Amino acid sequence: MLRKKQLKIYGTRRRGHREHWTVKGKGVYREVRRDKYGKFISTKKWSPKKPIGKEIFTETEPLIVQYETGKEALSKVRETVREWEWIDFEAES
Amino acid sequence: MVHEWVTQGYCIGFNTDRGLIMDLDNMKYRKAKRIADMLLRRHRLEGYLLIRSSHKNYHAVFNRYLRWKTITKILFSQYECIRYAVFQMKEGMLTLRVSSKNGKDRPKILLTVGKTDKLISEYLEAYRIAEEHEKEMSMRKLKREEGLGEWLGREGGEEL
Repeated sequence: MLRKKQLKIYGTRRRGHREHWTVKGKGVYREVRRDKYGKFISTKKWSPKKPIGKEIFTETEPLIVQYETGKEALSKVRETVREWEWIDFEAES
Repeated sequence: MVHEWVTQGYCIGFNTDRGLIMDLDNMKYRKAKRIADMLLRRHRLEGYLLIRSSHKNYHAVFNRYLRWKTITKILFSQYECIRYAVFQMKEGMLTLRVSSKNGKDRPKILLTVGKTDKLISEYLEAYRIAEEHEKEMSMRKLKREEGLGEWLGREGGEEL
């Protein structure tokens, strides 16, 4: 059997909604805490590895694309990239 | 140099567990070439590709297919690659970037030595895929910007 070749797509991608999030300045993501009335309490810096809530979280696990031919790979990469919303952020370190 | 997160969008990497690929960071071209030459002779790796990923950072891809045991042995025998080796062992695969990252350019192929029919051909295929994908994406971005510009121009014209 022909062994499939692999490509890895990696980065930080988002799942769920951004309702509990705000973007301050250029590409800086911060978590916003509000009380039950919706009044602002505080903000804190966000790490891409940290889950935000039960429904909202980010993923950093790489995606593996298996392929045999170049054309197949290109279409698979295109599909995989489109499926996700890739986010920009400011690294803490 | 510390490990750099992918902070802008995504990256495409060439992934393999069949042959030796190396990340040679924080060294001059001469040293990277010397290491690649030495490994080529010592382990009869048939050929190699030397790639520059960024300033003073190089990648090496060797042509011969090897067992995982041999790959780990060679990687850990090189002091310069130990950090890379540890991180790759965690993943169970070796990965090298073939697309641009955080605004940095794509890796550039500098040197080809010996045969290129096995792992190197696979790498080159992945390299071309990433190149085409990036071209596609930049074209799409350009078109979108042009469309937006036209639309804004029309809006401005109407106002005038």
